[in-house]
Amino acid sequence: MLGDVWSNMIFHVAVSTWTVAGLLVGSCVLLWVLTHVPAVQRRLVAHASTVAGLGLPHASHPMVLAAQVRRVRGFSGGGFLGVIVSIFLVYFIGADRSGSATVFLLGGFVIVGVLGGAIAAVAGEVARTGEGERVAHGRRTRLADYVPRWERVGVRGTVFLNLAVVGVLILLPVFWKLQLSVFPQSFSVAVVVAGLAVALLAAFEIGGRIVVARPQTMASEQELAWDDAMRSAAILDLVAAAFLLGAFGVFFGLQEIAMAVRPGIGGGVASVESFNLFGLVVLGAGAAASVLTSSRRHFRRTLHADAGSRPVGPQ
Amino acid sequence: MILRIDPRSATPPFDQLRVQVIAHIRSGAMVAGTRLPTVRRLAADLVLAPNTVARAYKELEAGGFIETRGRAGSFVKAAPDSVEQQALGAAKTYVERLRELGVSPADTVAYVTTFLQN
Repeated sequence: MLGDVWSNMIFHVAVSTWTVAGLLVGSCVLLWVLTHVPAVQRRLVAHASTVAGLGLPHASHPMVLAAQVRRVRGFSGGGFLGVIVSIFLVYFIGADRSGSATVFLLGGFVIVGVLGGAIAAVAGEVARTGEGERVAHGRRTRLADYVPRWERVGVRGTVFLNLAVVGVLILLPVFWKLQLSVFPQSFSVAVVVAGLAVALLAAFEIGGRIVVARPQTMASEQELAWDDAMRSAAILDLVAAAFLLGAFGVFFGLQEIAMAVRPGIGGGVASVESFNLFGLVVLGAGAAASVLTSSRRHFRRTLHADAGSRPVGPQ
Repeated sequence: MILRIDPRSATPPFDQLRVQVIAHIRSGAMVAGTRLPTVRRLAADLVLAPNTVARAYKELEAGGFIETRGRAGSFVKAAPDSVEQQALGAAKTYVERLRELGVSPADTVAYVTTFLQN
């Protein structure tokens, strides 16, 4: 059966979609290969040092390098999976029949990629049993120590807004005479995306707390700060993935409502152009947020406020 | 607010822990209501036996520095009154009583001086 679907997909999915998918898969493979190059590895460590605002002692180098490499490989693996899933979605809903599905693929690539990176970054953490001095936090750490309040509120608000829009979509036939059937009578991308957004929010709320609760067997305060930086990055990646999916879910929901109410219009919020514009704005905002380092250094303000500033970069 | 354990030190680990928590409380780094790590978590972080951490917490509790609120965990207690604060309280009670008796401020001080000299 899967073979039939696959052979149908080859002819029914647009060439432009296959081209973009090929480029994205190629970039996944390239990213994976690049993590084996020593110069790239040095760059990854230097980048982590800059983002976290921490100097890197020699003893912490292997830990940071391993975490960074895992994160990039997790991103490329997740991105690959995201592209495959997106192609299936594009095929099943026919997203590229009236235009390009580039943003659809790009969204799947980024969201599943970020999720893969977050999982991989903390999955391989190895507990140490050094014989020297050991350090630990003197108070109980919380999720709020790693994720700023505005990000926690933002991601929860976006996913709840997504659920509200889906709720309106489901209740629409009760209050409005529709010209097109909506969920549950017909397949709905908005509902699928909303479900995934809720699952990612749960991954952040539950997984984030699991990450925070994991023991930290560290030999120095700086090592402890680095471990906190890695945890913070992984949890913030979960936040980013849930936020992106929630934002896309809101738009899909609005699009389906607009199409169900006024199916003949074709323009406005229901148009392919408007979806592409929205998708690019959301992805652009996500990329801009990831460049900003204030959230990535939040853990320093809450957990290492008395440590002061240190020179950045490998030492 | 970092806790350090040196396994090669002559001081037992539970005492190292106890002394550091007291130092953090006295320096103001750990304020009243600060939630301490769970016994299991701190034991795992510092590679100690849970009993060692539990003993440190028990002694801190006995010393009035922390309190355990059931399953909620251990919290730093409000600082017990210092000697200075207790002395000021006693002096205030004494001055108020003598004021009620109509004794002048100079005589109030003189009574204390005489008592101390005797």
